[in-house]
Amino acid sequence: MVKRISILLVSLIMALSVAACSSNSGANNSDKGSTNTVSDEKASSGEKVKLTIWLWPGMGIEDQIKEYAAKNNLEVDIQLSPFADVHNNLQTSLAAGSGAPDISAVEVKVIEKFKSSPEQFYNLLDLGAGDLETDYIDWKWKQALTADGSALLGIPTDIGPMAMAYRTDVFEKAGLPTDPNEVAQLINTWDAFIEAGKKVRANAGVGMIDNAASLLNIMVGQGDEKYFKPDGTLILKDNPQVKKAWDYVSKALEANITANIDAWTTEWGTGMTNGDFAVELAPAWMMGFMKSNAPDASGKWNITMMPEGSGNWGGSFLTVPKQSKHSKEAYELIKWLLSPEQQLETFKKNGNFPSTPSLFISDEIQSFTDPYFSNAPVGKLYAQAAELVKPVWEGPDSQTVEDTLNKAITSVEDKQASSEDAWKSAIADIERQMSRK
Amino acid sequence: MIGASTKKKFNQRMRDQLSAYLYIAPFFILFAVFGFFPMIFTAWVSLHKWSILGTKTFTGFQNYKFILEDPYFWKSLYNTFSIWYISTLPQLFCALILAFLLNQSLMKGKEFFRISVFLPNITSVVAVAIIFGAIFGQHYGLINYALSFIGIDPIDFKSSVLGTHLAISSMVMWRWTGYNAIIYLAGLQSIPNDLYEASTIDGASKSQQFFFITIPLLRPMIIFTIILSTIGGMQIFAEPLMFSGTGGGSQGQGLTLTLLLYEEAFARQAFGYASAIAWMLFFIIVVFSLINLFITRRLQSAE
Repeated sequence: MVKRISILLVSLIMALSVAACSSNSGANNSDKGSTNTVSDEKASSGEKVKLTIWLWPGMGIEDQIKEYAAKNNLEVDIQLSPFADVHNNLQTSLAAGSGAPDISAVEVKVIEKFKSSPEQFYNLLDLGAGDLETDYIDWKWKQALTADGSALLGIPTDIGPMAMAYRTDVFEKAGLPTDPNEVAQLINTWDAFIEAGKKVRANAGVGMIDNAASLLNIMVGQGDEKYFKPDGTLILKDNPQVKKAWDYVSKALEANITANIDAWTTEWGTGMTNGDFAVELAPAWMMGFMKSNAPDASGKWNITMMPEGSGNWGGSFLTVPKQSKHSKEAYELIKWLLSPEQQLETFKKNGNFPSTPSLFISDEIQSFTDPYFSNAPVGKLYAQAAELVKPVWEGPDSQTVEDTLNKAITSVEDKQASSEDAWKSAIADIERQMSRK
Repeated sequence: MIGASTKKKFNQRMRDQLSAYLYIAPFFILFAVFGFFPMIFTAWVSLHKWSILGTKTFTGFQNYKFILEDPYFWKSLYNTFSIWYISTLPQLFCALILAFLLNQSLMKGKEFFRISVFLPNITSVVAVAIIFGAIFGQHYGLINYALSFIGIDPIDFKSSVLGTHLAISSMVMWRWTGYNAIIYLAGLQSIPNDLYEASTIDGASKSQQFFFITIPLLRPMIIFTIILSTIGGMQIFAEPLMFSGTGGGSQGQGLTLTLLLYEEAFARQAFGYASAIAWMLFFIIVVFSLINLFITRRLQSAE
């Protein structure tokens, strides 16, 4: 009874805190602190260059931007909006011809779309970015480069190499090993993952993973190709990896190993705290989200390598829209902020994994541990995962295809459609959407 | 002399006319900029393929043809009407009862209750949607928690069509019942008290008074609220977006017309197609307004 009431209270508080947080960010609040720190010296200097910067919460670079601004006599206006809003607002202001910021963060899936309109952004190669190329991972750098290689839209922030976070208490209850090495050895294939999931369901009574869609995306991402060829042809039906992933996830659903909790919901955070699912397949930036969504679960999670290699999920770029009047200052800020030294700072603070390989072998990364994840050597682990990432071609409509597949697999998970019907209708939907593009 | 006086008169008339136009100008200028131009521009865009950043390609009525073949359009149309129906009927009925109760002379603390029924209407719709999302949650939702006491298994509201429609409708009802109640209350207060007194002398019960005096005399108010909730119901957006996500859930169970429009424009960059949906929505609302007008006229002539 007491437990039930406390669960109720937790869910209420979660709901309230999310409400507070979203109304806050939804209002497109400019970061008041940023202008304050700089305005102290305003009186002494003359004309200050003011840079407007659009980010979403969780990027973890605000403090460094303020630090740079204070040192370089800049005024910065950091505006945080929800992830989707940043991209929608940027697209709208680019189309309108005014209102775009001096610097905007753009995620990898969205930069694929913007690559068809490179004239909307400063070509960073013209500003001298060519010299930086060797600092960054090759495939990540190319993601922001137009097909002919003539224009660079953004400098890479973090990358999202994947690892497997798991609940030690749930694994113990399920009769599975809890030591990271043993776990990685036992669950080294997706078949083994499903087998372990059955044990978790039988002995601990909870799901192995949060939901079917996350499993599907990650397995699709482990192939050599995804949904499109670089020339734009849809290869969804001909790519064996997609069908293989679909069939595996369908098998996992038959074995009832998902908790059926949608990501980014209040129940997801509660489930993460209470251990309603044993595993979260986590890109490096997810660590920060887990800590803020489930702070009470600190020490109950551990982290190890994922079955069948790694993969990349997300990661972003900082771009300079053409509307900016201070492209030079903006570029200098980006260059400093995304240099290996500063990316190391961001990683230590927020867990976002650097896109600069020179850091991977550095002592600071290799020896970095995280108490939230039972002091796992997360730096070393993600560095190892990053080496395993195979670059995959996304294409401008990758997000549309992924959304449709996710919805389809969720309808199977919700027992509203059979795996076969859902697959067929998803293919038909995607082909219809592509035909009218 | 004569010429000068007519000129003066003419000037005066012109001035009067000019000032009249100037007085009404702000509305027309604003309407032209924010109402008329976007409408015409949307019609123009709807004949094109356009990803907003690239160039437009003229495709004629292709987008409209696609709409008629698009299963999601028909699904969203069904969802929109289903949610409108589930939310509006009980909502207006509850509002009527609430207004009737608020109007009772024996009621204490009237001001307090009038303000409280109106309060939900001024809360942020996003906050409402988040709270209701938590209430209807499958694992930690309040409703399933309450059901667990009487031994009913948790219901997965988000995944079923009916569950999603009920949840979204409940948000609409929560926000708008009080608003409609206040409108009805204003109507109730305009009904002369002697009618009630006379019927009491004739031996009518309270419920007879409600059905034979209150409802017929409230007819104009009821028609007004029905028209308002029809227009609002056709454009329902924030609640399904917050409850079911951009795609309207795994099988589009929460996909309404405006949500589909938003998804096509901002998730798939099909601005031409989205504009065509906007015009379809416009036609649908026009048709419904005409039906409303027809029914209203018949009701008025029946009096």
